[in-house]
Amino acid sequence: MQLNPSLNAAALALLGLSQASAAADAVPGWTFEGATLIYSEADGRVQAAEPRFRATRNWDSGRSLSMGLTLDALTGASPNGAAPASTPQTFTTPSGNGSYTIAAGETPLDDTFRDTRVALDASLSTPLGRRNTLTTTLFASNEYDYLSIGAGATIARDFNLRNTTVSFGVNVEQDRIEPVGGAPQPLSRMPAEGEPRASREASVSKTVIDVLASFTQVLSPVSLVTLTASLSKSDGYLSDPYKLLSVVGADGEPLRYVYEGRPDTRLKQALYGEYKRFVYDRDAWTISLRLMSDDWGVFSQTVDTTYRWNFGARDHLEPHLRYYRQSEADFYRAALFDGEENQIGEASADPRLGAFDAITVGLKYGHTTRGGLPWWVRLEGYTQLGRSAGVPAEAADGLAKFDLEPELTAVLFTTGFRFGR
Amino acid sequence: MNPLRLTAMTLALALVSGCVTVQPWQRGTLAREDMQPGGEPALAAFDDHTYFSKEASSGGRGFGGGGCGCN
Repeated sequence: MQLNPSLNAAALALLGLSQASAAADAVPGWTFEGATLIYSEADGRVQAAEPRFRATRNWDSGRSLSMGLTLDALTGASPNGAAPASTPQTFTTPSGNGSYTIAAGETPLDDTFRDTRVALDASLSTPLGRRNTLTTTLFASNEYDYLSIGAGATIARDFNLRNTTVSFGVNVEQDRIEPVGGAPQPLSRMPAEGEPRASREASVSKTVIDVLASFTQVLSPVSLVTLTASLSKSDGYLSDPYKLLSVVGADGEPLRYVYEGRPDTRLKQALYGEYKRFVYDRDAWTISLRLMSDDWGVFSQTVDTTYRWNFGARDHLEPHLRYYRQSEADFYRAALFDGEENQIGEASADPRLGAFDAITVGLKYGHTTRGGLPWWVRLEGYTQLGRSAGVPAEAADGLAKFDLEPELTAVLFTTGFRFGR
Repeated sequence: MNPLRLTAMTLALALVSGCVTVQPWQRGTLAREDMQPGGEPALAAFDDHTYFSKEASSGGRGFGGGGCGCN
């Protein structure tokens, strides 16, 4: 007998199964999911295609195994960190064997990067007694210059007639980076094409340890709230080996370029709250807030909301709005003043460490076929608006003629489906 | 009844009702797929990866992760 998924889930809930295990996905058997993201930045910048596949097996015992494959193909141009200049600028490629030239007044973009990532993950959830669930996860991800492996475990316990769920998790990740041309010394000068270079480390690594504690509370038959606190500690090589900074004179024009250098540790902490409510006996409204800060001086706030309008028995439209604001890292510099690179130990002009606001606006349409198979499409626009930061006072007048925080806009198209069970 | 006592009782009632226990047979709505915390998992994964690659923040609702050279 083919049950309506939500009725089926409700029936499971009546049997006293926990909220998570009562989800429609928990029907015994195999479920297969496929989804693809097409990401496209304006002005020929980053283009990405990211298909994902997932197979999940649920057993009557409540145990479930989920295995995922992600592919990620990237191309296009990315800011190399240098500031615009009044004359054309020539940069050496990371290998040291080539160069590219940027027109006067333009934001320097490195268009030589292409990358394909393959990632695998597997997670096993096992009930421990009637109230606990242990989930263990393994993952690995590989690019031509990057290898990441990791493992995690989360234990969740239900209380209060399963109206309260508390969970604790830990995740450890080990990354090995083999940058093209080796890892440059922080704040060392970018050599010209073909120029002999100082020896570089061919392989560097970093370790990331995450811990989190989460609390989910059912507030009423139609609402619930989740609160999560998390800590993330990174150690090792945290710089981007391909990012540069301009060293400029008082006129704001570049004298030379140096490679960026970031601290070799980072401690992030985040608080996340999510509230969900079923409204008009038909729709689902979700709003979340995240606060994050780290010892690099970054503080960010994120507000995210969706409203799922179930306008038909098998159709929904879901508008999405996200607002994000971050402050710049302490060592973020739009450029360095002449000689400054010898006086400081850390600096980065990576726009991702600068101060900016970002807005995402999107709309999703979802449909469930008569056979009970759901699919969906989502179209979103993402815009980053930079705020001025990290401009050296000695060169502020000279740099004022350039756009140091160009706007970033991207279009994201996502589609997915699920079948099985 | 004096206003202070009325306020205290109203507050206490609000607190108690905020912690009301929802019985298993009242959970049909909460068991709906669109009422699961975190939303559609594939979308959440795409969003986390995109924002991790473009912003200085990551994680919050789950592990910060990364596993790529994109940041």
